[in-house]
Amino acid sequence: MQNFPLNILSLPVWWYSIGLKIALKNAEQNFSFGVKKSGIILFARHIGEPLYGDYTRTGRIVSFFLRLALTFFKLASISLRGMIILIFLLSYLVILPFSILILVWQFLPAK
Amino acid sequence: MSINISKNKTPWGTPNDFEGINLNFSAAYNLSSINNFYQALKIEQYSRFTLWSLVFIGITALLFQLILSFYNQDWSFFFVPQLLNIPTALALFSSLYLWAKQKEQQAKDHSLNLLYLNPVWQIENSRKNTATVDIFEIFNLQAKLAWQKASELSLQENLSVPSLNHILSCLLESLDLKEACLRLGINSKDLIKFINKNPTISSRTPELPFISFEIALKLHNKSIDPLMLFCACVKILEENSALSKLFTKLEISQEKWEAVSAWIFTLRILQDDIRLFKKLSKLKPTGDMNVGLTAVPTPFLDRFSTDLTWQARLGRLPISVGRHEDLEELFQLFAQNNKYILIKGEEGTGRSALVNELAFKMETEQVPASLQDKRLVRLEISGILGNPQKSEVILEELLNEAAKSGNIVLVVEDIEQMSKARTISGLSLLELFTDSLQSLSLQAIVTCDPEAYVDFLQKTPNFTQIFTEHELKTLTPDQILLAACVKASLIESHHNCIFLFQAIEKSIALSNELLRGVGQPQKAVQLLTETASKSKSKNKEPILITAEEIEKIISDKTHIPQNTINGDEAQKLLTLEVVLSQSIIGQTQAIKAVCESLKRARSGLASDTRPLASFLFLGPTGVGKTEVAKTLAREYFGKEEFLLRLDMSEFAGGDAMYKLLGAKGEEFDPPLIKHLKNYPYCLLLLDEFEKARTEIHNLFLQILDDGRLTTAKGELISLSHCLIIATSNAGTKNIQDGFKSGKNLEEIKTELFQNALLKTFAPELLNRFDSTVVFSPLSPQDTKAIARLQLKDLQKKLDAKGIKITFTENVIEDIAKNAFDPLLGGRPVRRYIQDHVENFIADLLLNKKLNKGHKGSIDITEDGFKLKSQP
Repeated sequence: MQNFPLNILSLPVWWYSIGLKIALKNAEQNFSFGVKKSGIILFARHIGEPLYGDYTRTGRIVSFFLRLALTFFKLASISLRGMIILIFLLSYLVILPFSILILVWQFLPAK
Repeated sequence: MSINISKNKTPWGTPNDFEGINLNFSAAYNLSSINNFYQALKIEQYSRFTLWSLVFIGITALLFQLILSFYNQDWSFFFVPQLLNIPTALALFSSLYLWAKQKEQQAKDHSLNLLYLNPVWQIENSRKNTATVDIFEIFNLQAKLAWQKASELSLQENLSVPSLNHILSCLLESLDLKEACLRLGINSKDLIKFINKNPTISSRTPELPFISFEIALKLHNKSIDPLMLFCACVKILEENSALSKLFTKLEISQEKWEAVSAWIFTLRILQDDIRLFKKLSKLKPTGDMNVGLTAVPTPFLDRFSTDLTWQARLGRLPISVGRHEDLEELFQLFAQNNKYILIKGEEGTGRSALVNELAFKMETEQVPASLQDKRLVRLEISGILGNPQKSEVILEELLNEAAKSGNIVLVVEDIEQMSKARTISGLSLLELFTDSLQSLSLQAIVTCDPEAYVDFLQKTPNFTQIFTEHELKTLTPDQILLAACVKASLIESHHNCIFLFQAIEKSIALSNELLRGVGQPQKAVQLLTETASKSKSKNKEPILITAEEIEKIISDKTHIPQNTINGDEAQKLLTLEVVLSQSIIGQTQAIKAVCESLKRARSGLASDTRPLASFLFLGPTGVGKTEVAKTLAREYFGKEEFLLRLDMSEFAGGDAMYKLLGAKGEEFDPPLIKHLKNYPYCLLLLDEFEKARTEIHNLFLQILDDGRLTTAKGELISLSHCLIIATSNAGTKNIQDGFKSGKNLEEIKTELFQNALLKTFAPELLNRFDSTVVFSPLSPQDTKAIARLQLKDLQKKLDAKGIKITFTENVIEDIAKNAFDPLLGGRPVRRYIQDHVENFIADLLLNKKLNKGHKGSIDITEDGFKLKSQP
């Protein structure tokens, strides 16, 4: 901030280079955290195992279908998170020109 | 990793070189640059304030617009140009700008970390030869301000480089330095006054930024703080400067400043770690169930165990430092598909700390795949051993349940306890445990100390085959100090106290030397906890715990006087010669030799690890060798109970070593070991040392050199606070003949060494004693003096009964005449007084001729002793 006017002018350059890199990194971290939180990888690793150590035939069948349903829900939640992150990323891309545009727009004569 | 700073290469402000990276320091030393810095700082502050105000106004305007739109049911306000939309649009732009600046700053904060942690980054940049690090940019704001202020003050005084005085006093204004000064027991304001009064000059001032950079790398810090800059200043202080002398006087070295800095930074890092832990622990499900939903509840196991991962989440596990390398190795062992791991290490050196650290990592899932989605469960062995009839069944059921659950890593601390318990089938619990693990699919970590490993675990069938060993790394003294400092901070929060750095150092040094049992840092931490709990604050103000408080506690525990612990026993040593001369007759030279040797040993010139002092007393029987030892125990140690007298003729047989050091597996300690454990500060009198076996002499070779011995049980006992006196009659004839022929002491000693002593003792043993003291045979005059001294004792006894008796000179002459024996020394005097004088008085007392309140004198005539009563 020591060269405030210069900083203001160089903001767009920073925004689409270093800033974008940071935003992508944040998005990736956020998505990874979501994946970890859902535990889908661990869940997938145990896909063939019955739930709660129930090794009976019925237990195995019930477990398989239940795991399929749970995997579906987990995937859905991850996809939702991914979509939200994507929306944020897209917003990142457009928000700077949008903010400048909206500022300029206010100074245009009203129709 | 070190920075080579050469004076030719580093004139003020020019780039330096660090492993291929150009280092420079952009803060120019002129008033206009400093003014620019302040101006830029002001602009930054104002612009930040303006931007935040804009954000606030914009949000208010937006809210106002929204309310209006809601009222009018017209939502097109933002697309219609109007004045009220401008603040909102500006606020949006401002917040984007502020966010960008915050991220930029965060990236800058991590630049030093990247430099340290990422060698690839270094190499890549060095190849390109473009990387330049501006050290001033790595300075945090406080460090920048202190530097610029010091530069400004120096320029006002027309100095060519910033003055070290100004840098130091400006840095001392910062909070970090105030905290460090408090820890070192210095008043920062007094230190500033001292610095201002005593100019401190150093030709190396321009190197300061580079040295502080090196310290920052060493301490793994993100930025250069005022503390690091201060440490750099201390490093470049000229030896003859007033400040350097002050620090030497206060015993605060540069290493101490760095250690205190490391303590303060480690606490900050731990705070960051706790924040990260709280965030990541959300990944772990609560309760028995795992993410993979494969786990089975373990109600039976839960009764006999503690879930460490759950305890970690609740914040109930103690924080520890210094075991990262061990943890990494543990991860590697698990990653290599080792199911059962044995952690071997002395008690108190960090076995539990390592297990707790693993629990923290498992809770946040920062572990290898084989440990992910699992619980770390500690088996409480006492619960199992408490049911001796059912222990076998309980253990089997517990292990089966843990194996069935599939998400449990079992921890058994001090596994050797299991080997001592027998099951109904005759097997030890440890054998049963090992057998069960072989047939189960489970993961387990067990801990033990090296001695128990040899005694019990190695002997258990299959144990060594199924367990993979991991030996705890020995912590360096710096790591022990840092671990104790961090623990001290935790104790402070519980006991409303503040530990001085010197108190922690003292606790490590004294516990190392005087406390047995557990290892470091646990020993020191226990001592700190005990001191904190005993030093209760009377008001709400936290109490300051100094090194003296630690000495006091250790003094209470070990019976060692505090002035001996801190080496402040000058007065006692200075008067010792006078006191000994009053009790010992005819041995002026011997007493002088003992006192001088003791003074030498205690003046700090002798080694700290050797015994306090060690003497070999030589001379005929009855000349006062043992009496000197007893008087020393009374006068120097305070009580005669500090004296342990061993008749070395008892250690002449084949069982000598057993009698001295005990035997393995025996519950009770032999007298020497028992005494040394109870009274580490003592006088050890080895009577007739020459009669002991050669093995015992060899053992004392080590004791006299290292000041420690190892018992048969493997315990290490320190004798560094022990005064050792060995007496011997070897060469008595040479001594007597020498004195008779009028030779001086040195001549007699030389002859003794050449003839008698080398036949009795090995030369290396004789060399180990601090001094060999020769006691001269007694003369008739000495016998008189001894008689006077012993009659005085008798007078005192009668005084206690209310009888005042004096003895005439004739009595003393008579005793000296009849009791003098050049071969037996002073002993016949005691016997003569007993047989003649004491018997005479006893008759008088029994015949009621001597009653309470009686005054008189005892004389001797041709008819024998006579009592002359006085009115």
